Amino acid sequence: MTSRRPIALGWLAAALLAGLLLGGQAGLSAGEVSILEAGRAAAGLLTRAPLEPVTSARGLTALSERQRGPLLTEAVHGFAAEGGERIGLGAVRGARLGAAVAAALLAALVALVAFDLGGAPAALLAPALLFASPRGAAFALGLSRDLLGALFWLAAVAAFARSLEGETRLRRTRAGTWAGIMTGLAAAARPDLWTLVPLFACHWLLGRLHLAWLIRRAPRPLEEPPEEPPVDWATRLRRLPTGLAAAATVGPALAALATPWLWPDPLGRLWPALLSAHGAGQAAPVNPALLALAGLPGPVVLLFALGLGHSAQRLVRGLRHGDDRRARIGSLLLLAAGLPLALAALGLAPRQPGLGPIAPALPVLAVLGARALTAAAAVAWPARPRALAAGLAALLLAPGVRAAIGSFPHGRSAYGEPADGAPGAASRGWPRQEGGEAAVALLAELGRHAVPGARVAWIGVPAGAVERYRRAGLLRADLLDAPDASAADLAVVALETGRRDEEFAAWQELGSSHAEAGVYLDEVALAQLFARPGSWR
Amino acid sequence: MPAGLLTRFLGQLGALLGEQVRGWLHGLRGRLGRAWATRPAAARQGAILLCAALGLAGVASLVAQELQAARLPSPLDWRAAAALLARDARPGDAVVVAPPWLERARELAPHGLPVVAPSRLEGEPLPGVRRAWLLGAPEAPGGSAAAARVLLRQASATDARRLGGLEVLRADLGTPLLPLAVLADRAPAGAAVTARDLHGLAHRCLRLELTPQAPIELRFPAVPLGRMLQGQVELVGPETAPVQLRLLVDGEPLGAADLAGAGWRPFRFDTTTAAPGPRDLTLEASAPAGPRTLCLEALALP
Repeated sequence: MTSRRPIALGWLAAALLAGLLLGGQAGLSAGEVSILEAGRAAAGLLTRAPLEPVTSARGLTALSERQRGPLLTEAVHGFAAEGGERIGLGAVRGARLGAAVAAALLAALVALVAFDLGGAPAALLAPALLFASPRGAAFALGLSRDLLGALFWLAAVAAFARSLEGETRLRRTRAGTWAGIMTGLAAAARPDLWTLVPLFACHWLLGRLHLAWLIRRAPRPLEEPPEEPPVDWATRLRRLPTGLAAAATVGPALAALATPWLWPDPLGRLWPALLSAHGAGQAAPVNPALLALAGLPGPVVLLFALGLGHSAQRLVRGLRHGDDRRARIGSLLLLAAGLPLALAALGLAPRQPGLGPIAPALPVLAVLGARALTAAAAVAWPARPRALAAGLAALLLAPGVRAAIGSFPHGRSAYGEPADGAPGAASRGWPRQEGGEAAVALLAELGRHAVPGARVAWIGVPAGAVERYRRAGLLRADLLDAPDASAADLAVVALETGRRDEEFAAWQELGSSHAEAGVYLDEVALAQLFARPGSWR
Repeated sequence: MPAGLLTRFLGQLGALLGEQVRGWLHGLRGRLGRAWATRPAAARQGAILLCAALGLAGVASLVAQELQAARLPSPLDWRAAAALLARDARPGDAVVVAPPWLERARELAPHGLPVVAPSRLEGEPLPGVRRAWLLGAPEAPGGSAAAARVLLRQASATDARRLGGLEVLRADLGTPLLPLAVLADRAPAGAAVTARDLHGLAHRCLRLELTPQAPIELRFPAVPLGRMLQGQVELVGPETAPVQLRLLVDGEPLGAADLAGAGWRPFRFDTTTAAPGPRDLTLEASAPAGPRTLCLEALALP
């Protein structure tokens, strides 16, 4: 027995445990609250569906229209949050149960793929490369379409790779079917990931082109070969890889099934749905790919780049030496890592701050980076490759781990040292947080110092997050929500780049611009609390 | 005789030393030659270099984190700045922070001392401020001396000191902008006063909702007038209808301004023609072409 499964199971257990332990401490962002609210509604409608199918279908259609996309992510997190609360995990930790499970599965899958490509050292390193940074940890802890999307993206790519090199036809067919199912789930979790279908098609076409080139280069026989019988369409279709055929059929079907908004008018609504999936109408003052990479520690980005370079080198060698397997897998991995990066750079992925735009590429990049590091160590010191790889991994992961510990629970506000950290990002006007999540760190101070029964205005903090903080016991029960600053005794302001009219109006209403408490990451203000005179003890 | 012996001795010694050094060099050359002959293959050399570069990158990243932390103000620096402000700040002072994200100052500055975090200070008036305290972190990422230069240009006297990572510059403004009256402070009953953002500064203004049918007339009794009434209007929202402003002093028209577009629009009325002293002021705002929301900031300047 190899160490493949134990390593994967170890990562699964470690990631799940970390998710459950830490998930209750990070604040809820606007995006997470939106998923939770839609998820609760979706879970309720799906539970009632057997009894009231028509009403449920109508409700799901309306919900899907509001979300402008599929409901898989919402439904998964809705059910998981409900379950998490019922088993006593609390309103915030329980809400993130789905994310903890998804992150654990992703860690295990990354370890499995890395083992297949680079052996045990790569399997040990790759998930750490993915999660051991402030943003990586926040990516694993937070509720998002991106985490599930990344999980299904990697699963689809791994299944497609298996469908290409399975020993028997049955295995290839089975793996191809799984590739189709995973493609559908990926597109149902994050609709822009339908791009797996053109990715597989592109990979197949490149293979055909390579084959045609090899045939053209091969020496011609002296005798004329016998004329081949004409090929019928059924035979031509059978040449299509099962993975591609399944992805092109099962994938869209599953994605459409998860998008009830499409059901009444599939053709008419497809184009708006695709536009919405690819970020049309979303403002992005900074290139999303650049913003995402700037959020990662320098050594991690370096290792990702090294992984891409190493893969490209292997691909070239494979092509040069006629190693078909190496070329097939190498080109698939390069496409799987490169396509999301290219789409994000072109603004064709969801244009949001954080790792989201490049999320599907991250697990693949982590695998490639880990493989490149272990390969370099094996060549550099053949006598002690594992010791060298472990030492280098420790050095390369240390900055990210250190920053993750130092910035917790504000990992979503952290930036890598090449961008000069959070201060450098704030100076450039880059987002300070994803949606009011930093305010959670003010709740303890608020509980200690607010006068009894004080009314609190929450500026930039989602109402759904406040409601969950209250249910989780993080917010003192006697504190009331004020509809606006004019009716408030206290104002909690989540600071963002851009205009601050609401905050300034709150100062005017409260008669004070003196912050009573604040949350800072590397001196960059993330949230501050203001009080009407006499409301703060 | 002793000199000859010494010369011969030194000569012998030199020869022996030279022989020894030649031996060492010969040995070293041999060892280097053997090392070169048995050098790793090119691929291994590349891998060794790559591993060394990766290790260096990790170390450099850790060092960069340390250096970045060292460039930021420490809790001790902040406490020192807070103590300094608590001791020396007086009415008419304001704190300016640069870079603008350094807003911990709002928490540590004494109550009642305004703290402003402008995204740019050039051309921004600080009404009512006689002395500005610049709390800067010039070595922090994004830190620069631009704000200090602006204040130094306007200052009649300065006092700069370094508190660890913080640089504190007190600038006594040579020609402070001291309004005789701020209309937002004299808002008539029913008028909404709010604050709006312009370059990171909070501008207190009167919020007016105009419709074509209902122009707004605001009366401000006994406003001390000087040279001019200066201010700016923020035209809020996506509407495009132009707005007309009219100023009347004791019922007599003094000036008018037509404002269009969106964002902040400055205006200025010359009040030298009106007799100095407290006057009854009337501001009429109308938007005949469509509804409009605006925020009006106006200062009577000496």
